[in-house]
Amino acid sequence: MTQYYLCFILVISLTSCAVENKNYKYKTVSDIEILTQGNISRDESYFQDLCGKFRLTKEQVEIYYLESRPSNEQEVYDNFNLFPCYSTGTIKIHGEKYMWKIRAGGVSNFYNDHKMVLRVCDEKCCKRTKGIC
Amino acid sequence: MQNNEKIKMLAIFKGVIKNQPVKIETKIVPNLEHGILGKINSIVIHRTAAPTAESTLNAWKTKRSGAHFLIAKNGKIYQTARLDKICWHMGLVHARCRLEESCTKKDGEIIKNILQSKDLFAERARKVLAYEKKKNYPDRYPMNADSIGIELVGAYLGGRSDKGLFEILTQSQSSSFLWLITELIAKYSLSFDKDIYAHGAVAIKKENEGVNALEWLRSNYK
Repeated sequence: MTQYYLCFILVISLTSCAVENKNYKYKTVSDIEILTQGNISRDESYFQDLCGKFRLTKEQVEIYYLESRPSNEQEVYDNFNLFPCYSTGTIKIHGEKYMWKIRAGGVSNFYNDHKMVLRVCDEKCCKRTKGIC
Repeated sequence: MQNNEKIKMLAIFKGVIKNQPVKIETKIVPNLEHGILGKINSIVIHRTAAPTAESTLNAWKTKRSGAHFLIAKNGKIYQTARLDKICWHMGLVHARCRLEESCTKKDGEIIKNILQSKDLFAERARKVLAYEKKKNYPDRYPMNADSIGIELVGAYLGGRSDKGLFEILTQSQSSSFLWLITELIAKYSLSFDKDIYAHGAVAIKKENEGVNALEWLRSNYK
């Protein structure tokens, strides 16, 4: 009986650690603000139909950042679709403030006066950030 | 005059240009070739978004998408796929009649329904592409199965903007580009005004991809 009790305590502790780690992972970003929504970089009605009202929640932005990965212009050109629908905002990453621009299709820019990072959303990331890809 | 023109015309054997060894280096990348390219209806101009030909050639070694030609900044033309083979260079092509506002009512509604569906963005674009494939050229934009792709080396200079420009073509690059386009137009009886496209204008890519190169071509093509 004691053995079962100890096992139960161990399982609960491990689960808590996992949850804590996940939460910790999610703490790398903070202070997410959304500045503009539903932007379309092309005027034709074709793109109005395609983009609709492309909108993101703060939660989507947080998950997007954590699930996406850095990339470069050539990889984006070769492997990703650049839809003209996007939202913009600000975010703190490890305490440093960045502007962000996230496009439908999962290509984004995170930038400030010193840095600009191109990020992309692979299949797993797309599944987790519903509505972006 | 006619003899000179005959001499000038590209000699193509099994899809490879054989009579221009000075201008064109044959560097076929087998993984870029997919199936038989039948009638060639058009030429599509691309930019590599990379600063050197070497970086693109290296990237293509392990990729399945790419183009028939790559023109380096020093003017060197690489033939990277045979002209009787399809290259995957078009990506997700737009619905031509919808973009140019020339659809029939029924056609327009079908496309609008696809665009406004709840599918993922890429899925909607793929469905538009599948729908467009059923049409004949020029009722639709070029597809992989009926077009030649030319990649011009040049980095993207627009930063986070999607409307930015690519590097300006060098003089040597422009000269080779003009020569190659002129030769291909003659070889495949294409219309310069109707059958040459900038990739960014017809597919889901950076809006200006190939646009400035095409504008330059329009000012210099005779």
